[in-house]
Amino acid sequence: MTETMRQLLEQMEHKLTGKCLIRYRKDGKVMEISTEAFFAQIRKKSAYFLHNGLGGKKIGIMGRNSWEWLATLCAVFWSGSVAVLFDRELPADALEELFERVEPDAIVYDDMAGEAVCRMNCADHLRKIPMADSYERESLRMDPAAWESEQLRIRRRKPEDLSCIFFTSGTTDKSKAVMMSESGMIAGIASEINDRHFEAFLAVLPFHHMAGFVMILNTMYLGITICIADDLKYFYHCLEEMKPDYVAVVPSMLPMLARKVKKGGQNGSALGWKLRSIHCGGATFESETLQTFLDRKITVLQGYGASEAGGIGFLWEMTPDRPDTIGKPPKGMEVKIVDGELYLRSASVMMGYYGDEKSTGEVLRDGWYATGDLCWQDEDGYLYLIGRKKNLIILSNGENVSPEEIESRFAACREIREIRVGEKENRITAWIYPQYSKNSTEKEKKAVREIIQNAVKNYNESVPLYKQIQKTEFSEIPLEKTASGKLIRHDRMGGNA
Amino acid sequence: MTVQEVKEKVLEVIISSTETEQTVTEETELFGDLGLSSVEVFVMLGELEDTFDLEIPASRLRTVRTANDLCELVIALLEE
Repeated sequence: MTETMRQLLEQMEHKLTGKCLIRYRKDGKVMEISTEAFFAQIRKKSAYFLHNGLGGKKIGIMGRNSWEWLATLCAVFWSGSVAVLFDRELPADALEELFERVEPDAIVYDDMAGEAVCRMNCADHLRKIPMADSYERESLRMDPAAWESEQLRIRRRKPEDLSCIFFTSGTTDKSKAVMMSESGMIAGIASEINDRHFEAFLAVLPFHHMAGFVMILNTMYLGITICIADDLKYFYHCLEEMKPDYVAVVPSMLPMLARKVKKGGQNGSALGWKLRSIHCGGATFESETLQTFLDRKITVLQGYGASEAGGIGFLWEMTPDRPDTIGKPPKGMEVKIVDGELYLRSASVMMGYYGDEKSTGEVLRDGWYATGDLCWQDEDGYLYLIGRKKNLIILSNGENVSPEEIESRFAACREIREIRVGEKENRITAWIYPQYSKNSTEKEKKAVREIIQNAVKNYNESVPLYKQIQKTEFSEIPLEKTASGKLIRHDRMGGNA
Repeated sequence: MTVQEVKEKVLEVIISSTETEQTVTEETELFGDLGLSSVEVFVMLGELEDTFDLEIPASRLRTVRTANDLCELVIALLEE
């Protein structure tokens, strides 16, 4: 039985012998790294950590997506240490705050993260290690007895030991430090969910996110060659030159890919691609976009999960006949819905939030993780998300209304560019930014607003009274959003005005 | 290449990169009129780099809103 990440990596090394493990671009050319070369780097970096007293300690990693980043992560696990993953774009002050919270003993960083790492104020004992370091020169070298002692320590690590810390995105709340145990990491990485006989996987999601690094290690575990897109600018180059048949993207990339692939032929072959499948988390179902891909023999896999729930998540092949579902629970996951909220339990659920027992207690109970997502399940067992629990509108009549559910009803209304539903003076209100044509006259704008009012009227006639939009307010400017593009909701449950 | 030729080339890249069916002029708003996401504009940088054989730092995108802004950016980089 595999109990630690070190053991899992040893198995992977054996299983993937002789394989092209990684492809990446350098100076416009595609380079390849074999399993043997990759694991040689892991051993070298790991030895460096041990010789320099970092075995078993918390080692931070910060940098762009690269094979060096991956080798560093694996080296941390190989040395029986704890990986702490930082967003490569964090400025020095934000980095300082995170460092104070989790107190890493070292940080391995690349040139992208160099400025922030070098500028931040930090503890005297913190070791700063450039990722490009050759690791050949070691200022210290352990004596053989100490080395053996370290090897014994690594072999004695337990499944419940802390293995990795990473941060949630924290768009509305302060980001939290998620702790993953050795067994939690293994459960997500050794999952068969992505096993669809892919040859090569293109990774564009940031590695420091759970969805990024777990998916990479999982696909590597399944024997799929990892293609690293070091810079999103070269996304189309990567598709053409490295020819992945599987790619993970964010929802905003789907319409872009659909437009590009329209003249691309089967699997995008006319563009030089060999694309079979696109993995996307949080994608809204749009039948036209989906059909564009399906017509070219490209499937779209909807992924749903939570950082706190780890690597075992939902994966559903989107089909026109069942829009908006996230699918059925995967093998190894239990689900339950309590007061409309989705709870998940699996071997990959987190240990808790580092240094924050209160927040941990609010979401983790008996191994069940409260996702904060509102959900319902149909008679066939398929799950459908409705919205976020914390966005719920609670009216004075006691009824609860999900604003996202109402907003989604207007997704097909072309006259609406943006819509936000909330509560104002105890009435359900829709704030709408219309899609006016350029240089529209006031008369033309009025006509657009009338179409929208009609759409609201039709919606109201189709729902119970408590879900009806009672007031509509039109905006001449885009609705207020966060830095990541999400609508700001001021009037959410328990939130500020 | 003249300034006008550069601008025409940039507009061509916008059209081919996005496969838009809309008419694209210098006044066209990338996010507003074409409905592009920031990711798509980012990816377009790679195609502009290939076309003009230069490197465009992503940080320079912060002030880009229209096709003309993109033209001006490329012109400025070519002159650097």
